[in-house]
Amino acid sequence: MSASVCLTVYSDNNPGLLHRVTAVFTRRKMNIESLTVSDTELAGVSRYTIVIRSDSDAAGKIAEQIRKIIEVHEVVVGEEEAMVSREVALVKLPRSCSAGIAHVVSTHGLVLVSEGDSVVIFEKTGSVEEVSDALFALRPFGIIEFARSGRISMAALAERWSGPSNDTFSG
Amino acid sequence: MKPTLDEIVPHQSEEITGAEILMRSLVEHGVDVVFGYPGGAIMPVYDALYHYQDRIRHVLVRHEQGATHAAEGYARVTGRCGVALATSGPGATNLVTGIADALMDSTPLVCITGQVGRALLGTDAFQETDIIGVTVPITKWNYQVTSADEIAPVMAKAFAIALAGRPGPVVVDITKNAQLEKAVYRRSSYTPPLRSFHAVPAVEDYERAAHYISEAKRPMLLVGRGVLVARAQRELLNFAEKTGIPVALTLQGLSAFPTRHPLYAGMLGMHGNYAPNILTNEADLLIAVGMRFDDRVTGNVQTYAKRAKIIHIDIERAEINKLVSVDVGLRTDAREGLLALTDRVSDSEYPEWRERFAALYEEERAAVISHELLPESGGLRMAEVIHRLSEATAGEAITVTDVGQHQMATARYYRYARTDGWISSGGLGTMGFGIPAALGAAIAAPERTVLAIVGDGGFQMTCQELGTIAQEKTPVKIVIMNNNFLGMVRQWQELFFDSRYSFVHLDNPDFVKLSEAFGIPARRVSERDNLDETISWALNIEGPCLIEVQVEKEENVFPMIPAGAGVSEIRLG
Repeated sequence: MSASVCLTVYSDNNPGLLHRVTAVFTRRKMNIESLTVSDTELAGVSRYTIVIRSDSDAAGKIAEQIRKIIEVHEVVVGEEEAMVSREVALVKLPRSCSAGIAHVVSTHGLVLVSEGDSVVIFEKTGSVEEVSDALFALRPFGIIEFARSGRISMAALAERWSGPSNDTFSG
Repeated sequence: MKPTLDEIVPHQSEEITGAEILMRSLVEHGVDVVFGYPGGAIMPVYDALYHYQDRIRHVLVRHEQGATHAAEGYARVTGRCGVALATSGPGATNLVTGIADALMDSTPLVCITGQVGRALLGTDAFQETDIIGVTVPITKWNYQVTSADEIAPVMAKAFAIALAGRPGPVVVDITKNAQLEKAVYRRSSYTPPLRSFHAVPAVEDYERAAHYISEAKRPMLLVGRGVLVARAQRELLNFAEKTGIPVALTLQGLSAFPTRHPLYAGMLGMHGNYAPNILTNEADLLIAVGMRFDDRVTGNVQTYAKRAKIIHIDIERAEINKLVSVDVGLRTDAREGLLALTDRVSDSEYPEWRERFAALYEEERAAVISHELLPESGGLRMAEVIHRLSEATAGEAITVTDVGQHQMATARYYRYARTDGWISSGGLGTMGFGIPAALGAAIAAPERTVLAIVGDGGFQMTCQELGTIAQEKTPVKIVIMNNNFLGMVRQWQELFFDSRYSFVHLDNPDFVKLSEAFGIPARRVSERDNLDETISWALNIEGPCLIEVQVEKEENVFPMIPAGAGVSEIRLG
């Protein structure tokens, strides 16, 4: 059964590593639905949030392949239900619409982030579904342009990956 | 007397060029041979090498692909890193096939490429190729160095990564400015993180494995190259003799277990032996050691070993449960895994089960082997040539093969007396591997007889390395099995494409004259009666030589598991 699976990859922050990580998917002709890279609470460690559609068996095997990369410290596979996920969208609308939009703004929790002579930009932060719903609700007002961030995700549980191991191979 | 490390590499605080730092790093990591080819962006390194000729032997290949294959041959014999050196652009891209080959067959390589100066990166400068980008999917690790002070630590990392856990190739790309600029040389070391390289399986996993072994009535060992990499041949022998379990080898595991040992069950896979393939599907326990259930071994994986529990020892955790679900995965080195299991099992024998192997071997012998080794008519057959070579060398040679029918004939009919005689391109199946890999192997093992067994097709992919062999006076004994065909492709066309021979016929040059033009003595043999004498000539001549054996044009390698079929559907003809 194919579902959204979130892989969280912890790695060194090295140039070229993104290519190595994405090449694991490219080679298997797997589409990445969303990818974000950020720094973490650990110095020098990057966090990749990668969302793919996959069954859990295939996702586990992909995780093993990513673990082979030298600079990768750990890969955590999370089923979507066990994760808290957020996305951000920016939506540009004609200023003329702003009169009738108040209801949508309050229902969907939109934030006005820019107000120009002819256009306004709203920000929507929320789960993937909430962002999609907000965009759908704004469509009648004549969306000029929108941009969506990738997803960032975190396991809802208290455990987290604790950082690179100090154990090293000596053989 | 050899100088000590301190004499070779004194602690120094003065600044030297990046190119010389590279030389010192190579010496410090025990590199004594480098296979390479100079060019614009690597010239400062070659200039430094000029001053290190007494410590590092440079072998000038005739094409950079030859450098990687020769380095592979060297690495496979020594267990140390093979080193290849090339310039930027075409020099670097010519390494690619050998790098991919080394990744598939877990061979430790350090490939050093020159690169345009840092200021020119990304400008489409002369001979600029993004070799880091190109080699991402075919390296264990790669890195571009752009300043002299990075060279020593990066080389330390490169050698450590290439060898750690499951070995593999790394690429270090060094920009020209980094070779020319100066920095202080500092000895460096690097220890790869524990995570994916090394693990100690849980005691309960070993206990469970031992329990399955004690319960098994029809167990079989499946042994791959991991045993050779871990130098665990002795541990394998001890485990097999203690348990009495028959030992089947994968193509790349060949020679890990003596061919004449009573527990030797033969080769697995597409052109392997009849008994171990058929009995894979009758076994109730498979103990897989340092092998990765390649599709050439499993055939149709849906019907593979359905009656068996499977214990899998492998250093690479990604290989465990990758293609075949196993009952116990022991993520460790083959030697440690076998040692730990040997301690936990008791002596046993499986006379009835071994009788099954013997009976099926007799069937194969009657239907295939007798005819292959003692043909009553027709031209020379590859199998009988290999058999005669095996007898003449008492199974002691290092056999380096190319890819195709002659490779399968060697795999099937050379009888390895030593447990380190097999070098071939398995995972990638690289035609052109044989000649340069034999060069590297012979340089690594000057005391051994090295046979390069190749077909007429693959030979012509890298035959320019005859020039290197002649220049280095490397005593490789080259045997070309010439049937004027790309034989394995022709066999498939005959069997699966209604004999439509589509572009597999080769009009060949005179191989004897070609070899002699390189200064390598050569003979041609086509008569059965002259075979032994020609082999004897080759083995007794000093230095390299070449034999062209004109073999039967349209022989087929059997047994064979047709592509997509299960192991028990193996055909004898």
